[in-house]
Amino acid sequence: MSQANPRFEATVMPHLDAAYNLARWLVKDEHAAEDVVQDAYLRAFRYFDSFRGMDARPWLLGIVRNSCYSWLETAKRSKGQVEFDEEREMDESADMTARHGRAENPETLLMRKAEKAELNAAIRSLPTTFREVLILREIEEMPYDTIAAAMQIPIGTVMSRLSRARSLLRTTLETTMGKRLYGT
Amino acid sequence: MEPNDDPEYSRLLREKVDMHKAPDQLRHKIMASIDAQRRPSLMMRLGMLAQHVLANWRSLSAAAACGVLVTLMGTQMLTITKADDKILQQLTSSHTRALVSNHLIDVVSSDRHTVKPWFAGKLDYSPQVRDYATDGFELTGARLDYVNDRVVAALVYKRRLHVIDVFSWPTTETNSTVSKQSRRGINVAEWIDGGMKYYAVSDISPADLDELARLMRTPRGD
Repeated sequence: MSQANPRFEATVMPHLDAAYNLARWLVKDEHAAEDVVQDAYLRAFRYFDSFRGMDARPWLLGIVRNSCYSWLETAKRSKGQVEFDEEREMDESADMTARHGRAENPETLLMRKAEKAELNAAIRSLPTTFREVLILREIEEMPYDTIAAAMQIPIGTVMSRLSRARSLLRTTLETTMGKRLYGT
Repeated sequence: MEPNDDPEYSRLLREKVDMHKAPDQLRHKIMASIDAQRRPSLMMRLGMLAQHVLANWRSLSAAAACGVLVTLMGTQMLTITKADDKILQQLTSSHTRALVSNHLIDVVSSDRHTVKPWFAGKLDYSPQVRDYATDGFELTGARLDYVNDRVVAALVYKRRLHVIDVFSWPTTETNSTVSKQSRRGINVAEWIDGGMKYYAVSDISPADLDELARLMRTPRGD
């Protein structure tokens, strides 16, 4: 049906679901997510000649997350809000808990007991940067270095952010599940 | 697996987290907007091809007068189709561009008494502005656009989640029935009514566009 560049269609279009899913999780609105993904695809198409990699997925997701942040920025400005940048206010190295023990760690235990709705609400409530790193690592299964490249931050920051994201998720889950299970 | 990962944690999370699948219409919208982007270069290449073909035709038919005549007629027809095609391309591009850039509306209003005066002073004609919300086509606003070398009115209607742009400008041609075309997932209905040329552009179904055209062509007391 389309005359668009066949190579673009073959390499970039197959990642539409991943692109949309990331956008949904970042902008948290289905219509905005569509706009953002469409915008990202147009940018991807424009820069496609400069794409030299083997795997278009991380390349595309990098563009999608940039589009998401532009959108969030505009939305924030149009609401006249100056939001507190939570991520910068936190000490990113503070929470590098070791995770090597083989006994089931408390976070995994919590993950097992969490209900779908609880987990999704908890992820939605995370600050954007932590939500982003969690989605890229856990859903997209991107390696640290690829996430680092997409988010334009050092690998160490990816690791500390991910660790912080998991611990924030744990705190949120503990609160909501505590209410459910013990009524506290 | 990366050093800080617990595979069981990741597995459980993946099992429970919402995976949002891209809607079908998004794929179509993307392909349409990409096509709209690359259209100029494609049109330029087609134009060059047409010139090339015509140049060769002319030299061949120079030997026979009737050949020249046929060529001239052909050129004439080509020019007409090209002009129509150009408008259609501008309209679908404008529609897509408005959707992509989120610049759909200059004046937000479902009240035709707000929208109609808004055009005054911006256009050298007064477009018909009506709301068809009771029939499922809600007037959401209007914008100015530039099509066919002139500033034109674009009324923006919504049907469910879809956006319909209705472009209109004066014409000296007589009333016509509705004709429809489709361009990369975007449908266009056009008609002439009461000295105005209308184009309705949207990704809604041709049947829905027909319905809107029918409503717009039905005289009302307002």
